[in-house]
Amino acid sequence: MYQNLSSDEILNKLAQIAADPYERAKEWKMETGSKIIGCYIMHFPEELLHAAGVLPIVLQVKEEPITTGHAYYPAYFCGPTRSIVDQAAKGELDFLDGFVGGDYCIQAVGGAEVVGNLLPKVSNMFFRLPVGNQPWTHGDIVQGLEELKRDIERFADKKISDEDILKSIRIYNKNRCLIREIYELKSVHPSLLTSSDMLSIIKSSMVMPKEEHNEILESLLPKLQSKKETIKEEGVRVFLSGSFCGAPKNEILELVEQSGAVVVGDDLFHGYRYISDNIAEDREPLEAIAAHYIDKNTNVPCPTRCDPKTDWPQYLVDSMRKYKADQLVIVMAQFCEPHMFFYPDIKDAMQEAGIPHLLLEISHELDSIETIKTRLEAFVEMAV
Amino acid sequence: MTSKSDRSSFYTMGVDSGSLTGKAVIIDGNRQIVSHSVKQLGFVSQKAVMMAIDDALEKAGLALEDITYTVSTGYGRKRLEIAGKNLTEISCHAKGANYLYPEVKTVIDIGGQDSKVIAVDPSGNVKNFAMNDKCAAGTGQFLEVLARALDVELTEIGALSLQSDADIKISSMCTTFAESEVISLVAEGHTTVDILSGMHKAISGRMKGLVGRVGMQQPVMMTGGGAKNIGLVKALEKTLGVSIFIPDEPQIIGALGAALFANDFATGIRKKVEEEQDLDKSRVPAKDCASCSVQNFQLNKN
Repeated sequence: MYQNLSSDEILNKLAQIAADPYERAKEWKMETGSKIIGCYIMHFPEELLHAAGVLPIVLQVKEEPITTGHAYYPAYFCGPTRSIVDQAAKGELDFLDGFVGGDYCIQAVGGAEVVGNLLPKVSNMFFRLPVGNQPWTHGDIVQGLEELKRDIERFADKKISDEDILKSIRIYNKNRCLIREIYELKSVHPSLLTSSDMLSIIKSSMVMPKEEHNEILESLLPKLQSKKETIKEEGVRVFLSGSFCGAPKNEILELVEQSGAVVVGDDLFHGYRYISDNIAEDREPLEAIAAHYIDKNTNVPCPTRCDPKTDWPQYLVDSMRKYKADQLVIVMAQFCEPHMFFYPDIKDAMQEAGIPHLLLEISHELDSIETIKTRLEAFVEMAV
Repeated sequence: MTSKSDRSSFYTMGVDSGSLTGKAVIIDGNRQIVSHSVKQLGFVSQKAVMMAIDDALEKAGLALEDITYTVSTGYGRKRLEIAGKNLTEISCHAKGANYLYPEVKTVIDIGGQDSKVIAVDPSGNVKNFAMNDKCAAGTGQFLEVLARALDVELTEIGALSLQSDADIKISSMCTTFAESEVISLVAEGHTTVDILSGMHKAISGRMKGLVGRVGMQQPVMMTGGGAKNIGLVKALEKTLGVSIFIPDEPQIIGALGAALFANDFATGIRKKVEEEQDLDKSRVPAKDCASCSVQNFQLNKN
């Protein structure tokens, strides 16, 4: 179905799915009569939920102003958690059959609690993902996965076998591999895809059946391969960092490129962080998923994982060198405590390495776009 | 009237289309300022910008066709069709400040809509910068609103505030809330001069935070319309504990920097983007300037 479309047409299709992120899932529900589970941000074993025959989707931030949700969650909490609370309060998540919350940061825990209460007809579950990287951490994560498996089996009224999980792991691994291939192409030919294109690719992957997404990417990749030689490369090379649960606003991503920069790499949740590592297919499945949470944090450190063996600032310095990036643009969701705790260390590391960086603290109710534009342009002008 | 166009030299122009004022500066091929103009008509007024351009051309005795290259800056920088290139006011203020005072390391620009602190290197390049990113608090617009609430001319508030020895604190930096707070202070019987002094202290406190984000290095220069407010300058000097250099015409520094960039592009020091197309843009038909008079202008560099 996608083979006859051009790369731009395929990307437009993915952008449409990403722009209205729950519509494809709702269609799937009508088509299959199966259940949908909404995962609150940010680390969820989607493979385990998929193995139960349900469709897991990652709930997405909506760019519309928060209204009804104000009554349930304070304005001084981050936009991503508030936006999902707002969607639940407005009844926009009533199509869900299940909801899984997590304990990644204090705002996500509270938000999951509120969303659970706002969706009384939806099965409310919780994934306990212990932090750290101590000798006992792996075993603890396995236990958390077993607890979730028990709840999912009850929810789906289906026993989940190891074979079921392994089958799902293979589908999800394939998706990660395909997206990583696109990343490899983009790192060599950064103008081949805009950062908005990359956002559409990852965001659509989060909200539609992975099998279908894989099919789309398999059609897209050869078309990108043949297009790459025709692309003219110019611009200041920028690495994007931050936004590790909600998607950065398209408007901001577009401004980065309009300012004369090309994005050569990122560590965004709606980016490389989501697909950085595969799950081993030759281990007991839950143990493999648990190991994945530790390993992927080594690949792309997440400040919420509190892993003393990883160093996010150093990872960023190394990434700048790896991707030959000139400048670092940090997109921070306003009131994101984990990010704010790390920023002083990142700032010091960048200064020590002589890497210019720009911090954009973005509120959900967007600040003056003109000011952000001026700051981004001035930042890029520094490198010209 | 003959055109001052001298074929042994050439002219470039910088235009700063600011949020409250339009500014234009023309420099010659030796990078000397030939003329400048500042006009105020309203928010990002294209008319004010065109008036400033016409005025600067008239003072220089030039026609638009005599200008080899134009660079625009400021909020409305992308709307100026005659500009071959547009650059942010951050880069332009750094360049202009460095031209007037090559030793300057920190530039504080308080404009109509925003305030910026810029760390400048010895070549006039931006090393780092910070900009107010939430609202217009502590900017020219903030001062205008409060001057109106106190029924005082904007040009008078600086000198008036220096007469105060009281210590009034204005806690809110939101323009709207600060206006309410000022009205309350008036109702409580505080004098206008004391309230103005408190207002300048409040802005200085906010600017100190912005300066801290960049890291202050001396010498410090202040640019933008805010630098014309002596009360604000003195309050800022006290808060930061430094002496601040104020150029004679602080409002034109962005346009001056733009004119210097235009010179760089025209002489090939910097590469023009889409060169031919941009040059065509700057060659718009000349306007009638039959009554031009020539006024050379040199800024005081001391």
